[in-house]
Amino acid sequence: MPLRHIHLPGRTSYLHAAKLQDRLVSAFLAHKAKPAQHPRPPPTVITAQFHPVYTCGRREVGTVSAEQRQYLTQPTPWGEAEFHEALRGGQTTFHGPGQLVAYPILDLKRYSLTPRCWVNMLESTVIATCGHYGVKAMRTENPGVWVSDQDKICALGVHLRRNITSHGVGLNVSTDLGWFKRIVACGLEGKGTTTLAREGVEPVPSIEKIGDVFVEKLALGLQGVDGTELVKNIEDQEALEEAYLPNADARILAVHGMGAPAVSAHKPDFVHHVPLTGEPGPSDWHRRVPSLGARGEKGGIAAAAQPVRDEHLSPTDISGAAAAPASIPECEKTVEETLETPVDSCEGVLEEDDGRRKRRRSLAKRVLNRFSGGRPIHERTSI
Amino acid sequence: MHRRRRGASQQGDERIAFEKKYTEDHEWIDISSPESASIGISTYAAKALGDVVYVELPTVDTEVKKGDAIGAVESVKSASDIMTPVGGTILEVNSVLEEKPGTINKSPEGDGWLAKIKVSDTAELEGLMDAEAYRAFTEEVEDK
Repeated sequence: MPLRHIHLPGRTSYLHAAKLQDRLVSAFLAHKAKPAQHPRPPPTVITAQFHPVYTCGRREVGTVSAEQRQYLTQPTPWGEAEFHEALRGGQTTFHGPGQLVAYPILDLKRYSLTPRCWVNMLESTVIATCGHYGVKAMRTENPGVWVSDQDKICALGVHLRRNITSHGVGLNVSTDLGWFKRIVACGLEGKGTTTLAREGVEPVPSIEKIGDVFVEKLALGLQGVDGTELVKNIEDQEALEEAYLPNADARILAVHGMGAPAVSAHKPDFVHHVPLTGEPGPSDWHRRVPSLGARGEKGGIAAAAQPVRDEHLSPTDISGAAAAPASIPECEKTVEETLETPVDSCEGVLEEDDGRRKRRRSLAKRVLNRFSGGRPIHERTSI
Repeated sequence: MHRRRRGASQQGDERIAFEKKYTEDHEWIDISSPESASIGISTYAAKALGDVVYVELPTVDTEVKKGDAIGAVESVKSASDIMTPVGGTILEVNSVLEEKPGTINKSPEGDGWLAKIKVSDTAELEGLMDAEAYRAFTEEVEDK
């Protein structure tokens, strides 16, 4: 089954893409709830280029003050932006002309991916896409894709409902960086943003073309997906929307939310500031995430945390890989997870409640299991 | 010697079992007292998510139907919705998680409970998996 690619041509409004995304997610959810009645949609990636928009993530919903909104949406030398709240993870970021926004919508269960593996895969795909244009990108202790410890080239934020993914990445191709300078993007104080153009890519690819590259690379990493299928025509897009929407359970639509779920806005004593340029105050990132290398907090963790570099290759890491791996790419890294290990390394060890360690079985072990008559691991004499 | 009559033991002591049931989306609910049943995410789910950095909790007194989103758990830039396994009214939320979201990783099936719900229809509990069935389910998922 090919990975379907819907490219929204020219420039799109954030809300239009969000709506299309919601429809696809609802179709997936409808299938999960009543498989007999609703067909399963194919895995799909929506790529687009937005009109200028600032978005905040889930933690910030309900906490962005009127003043902050006004600041974000006022006229600037680069134009005027909108502001929207999203249900994705991560904090405030910018989307606009010159940035590839890619939203893969698929069911993680089909590909045996955990949320962490999915984030890992998105990062790998972006790294591979940058590599395609000769830019060496990498991971650091902070999520997203970076070209150095300082400069982020791609932001990432995902929403999951019943393992159906939505939202995704925003890769800067030739974005006007002035937009980013107005905020503390992703809550990371002192970090900068960069673009492919700034990293020397010439000629600068069109968003459509780089979207193609991204989708191709993603398809390589997904087990059971062969090739990509581009939906180009406006007519086709509308037909797709029609095909996926009508039978979806109205309650599922409402619950999934073209909008917020049935939860409250945050209580007043929980206010989080969207850090604006010039505003003092702790970065929310550091306060909330000591385990991801906040300076000086929790002692040993900050000292020992090392950026995850390229050598932490997981089977799903396709940066530089020309062809799909021969074996099924399961997320199988055996990196021991301790507090010192950055969160975005995928590890395949699960601990049961009673302390038994149970490794996710590799293809080889499953084969051996069959040959040994299905005896449990601890009863076999050798593996 | 005082011998219990068979009749008495057949009627059985109503021992309150501390019992968890699970959904396919890896939520658990403690059904030992449906008047105030705790809900959370399973150890399996907590591992799959990684370090939790933020928890969105429902409001007390909200009425929910089975499968409604009652909040979210965020880790590594992915915010994952939590659905309630049964319908009812939210009685209490675990506000410790607002300051210490990592509690979910340390004790997802204990201190990391998310909310307590008053179950409106105990029949909905029947369709959930018990601990053994859930264990088999997660192993099946892994082996794919």
